[in-house]
Amino acid sequence: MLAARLTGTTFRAAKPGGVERERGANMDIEVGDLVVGLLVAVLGLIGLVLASGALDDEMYLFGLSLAGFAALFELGLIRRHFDRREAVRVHAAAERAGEAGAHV
Amino acid sequence: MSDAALHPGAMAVRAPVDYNMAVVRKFTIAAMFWGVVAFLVGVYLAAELSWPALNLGYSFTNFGRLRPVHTSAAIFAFGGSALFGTSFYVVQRTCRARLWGGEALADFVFWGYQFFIVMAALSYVMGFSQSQEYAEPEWHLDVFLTLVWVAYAAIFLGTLLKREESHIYVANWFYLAFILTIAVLHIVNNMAVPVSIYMAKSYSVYSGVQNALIQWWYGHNAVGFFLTAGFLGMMYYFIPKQANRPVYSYRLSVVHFWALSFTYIWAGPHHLHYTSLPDWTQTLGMVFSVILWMPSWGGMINGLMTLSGAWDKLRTDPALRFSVTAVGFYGMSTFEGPMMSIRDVNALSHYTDWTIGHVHSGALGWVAFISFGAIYYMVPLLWNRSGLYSTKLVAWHYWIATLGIVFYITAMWVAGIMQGLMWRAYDQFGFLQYSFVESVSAMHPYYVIRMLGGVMFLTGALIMVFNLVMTVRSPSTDTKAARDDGAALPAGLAVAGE
Repeated sequence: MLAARLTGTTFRAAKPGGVERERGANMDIEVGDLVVGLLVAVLGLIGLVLASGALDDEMYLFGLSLAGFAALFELGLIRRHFDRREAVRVHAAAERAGEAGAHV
Repeated sequence: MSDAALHPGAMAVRAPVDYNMAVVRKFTIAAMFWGVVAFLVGVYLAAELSWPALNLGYSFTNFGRLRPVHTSAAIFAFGGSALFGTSFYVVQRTCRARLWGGEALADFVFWGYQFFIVMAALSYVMGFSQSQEYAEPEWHLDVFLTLVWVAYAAIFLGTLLKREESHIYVANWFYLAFILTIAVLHIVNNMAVPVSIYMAKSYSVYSGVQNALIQWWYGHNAVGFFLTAGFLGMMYYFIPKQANRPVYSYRLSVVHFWALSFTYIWAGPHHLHYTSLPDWTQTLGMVFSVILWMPSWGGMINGLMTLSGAWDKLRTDPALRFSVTAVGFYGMSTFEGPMMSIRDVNALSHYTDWTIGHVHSGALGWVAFISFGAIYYMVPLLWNRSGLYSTKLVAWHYWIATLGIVFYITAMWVAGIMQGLMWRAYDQFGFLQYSFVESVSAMHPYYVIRMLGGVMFLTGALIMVFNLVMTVRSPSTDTKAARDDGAALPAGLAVAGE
């Protein structure tokens, strides 16, 4: 999956036991997820550094909150990635069922 | 050769665009949430001013710390969320393009902006502030906001660049001016040197009168480009959509845009009359403020005249009533502002509650009302509902809120002019006739009336929240049920650039 994200491709189950590669359609979204995810991860690390050396309450609170914000945001990105994959899988299954029905 | 070229009479059918409306829905919810917070804190502060014992003796509930919570919640949280949400809605629909940068970047802008608001509010109640009006957050929050703002600008510009329409609709010009100018203002005014990278405290790179001038160049243009240009973008899209009429004069809207953008940026020094700022700079600010009256009223006339032939809609569509009344308040505030910038008028009005009345006729009458009109229009469309849950409740909201504003601003006009006159009154021996505390005491009844006006405005907002929640949740607004009943969908045919 990492290769798919880096190249901006998504995988979609086409038939049992196999995968079909779709290129291009979701490319900017996938690259966007990656870039934003990295940016927010860096912000989270900066938050931890600020909290660790904080000389006043405000910076301590801000640093910890920034790290918390980053962690929650990354979890949201991960959740959305798997939700999207699940949706594609469900859609493909529905399509297959439709095709099978048409043949019958 | 394309089909259109072969058959010139045939209209090309374009594929529907999969717009990113999820982020617009989030900003709409945030705008309503922060609106209620801002009005609630405002009412509490108004009560504190009437009965100071209500500050309860705690540092975090005193006026000085809660006041920036109120102003930031109203301007940046409520107004900002409404602007972000509507700009994303308008730019997508008028460009026929999905937001640039993908869902993750739009989500970063939404959650990042909300995080900034919460952290800024917490820092105020903890006592951390740059002590610069409307620019209170300390340096670390400013840096974070810059990141979010750059992401916002990238999404908006990227969407404009990949548009499927050749023309950039005028509302987008206003939104773009708001985004770019606020970026410049924010960075320049917040240039500061932190005491340590691990400390919130910082010192501005400007000092003395230069600091004051930069601050009010920022402060006035925050009004001009955040609270005016952005909401004019809203006006130029949503009023034509609600009235189902094209903009009265598109040429006038373009003249309005360039004249406003050029003139506003010079008007800041009128906040510093009778200070150590050089006289010529004060006069420059005053003159440009008076000039500003013309483009402002050009825009107001354009907004109002868009209703030509559709005035009857005001009877049946209370949401449109909000938008049109907002334009009326815009006209009133943009007459009052230039008048107050004239040095002799300013000698009476400055430092008095007249200024507070002026600000609130703009903030409540213009900013909040134009946002309410847009949100009432968008919510059924965003949640795919057949219409609003209750137009009667919208009408109740409209009248309660309008009366609230009237109570508020008239009380502040009277209080402000009385204050100004009491401060300058001399007796026959040449001594001041009133002590300062006598003027404070004389304000009490007006402060109570102001608080009642605020309570009414808050009540109206709560009615709106109830109505919107019911619009989204009630089976009576379900699109399928409405189709079965043969009910009409909300107005909104392609008018404004769609």
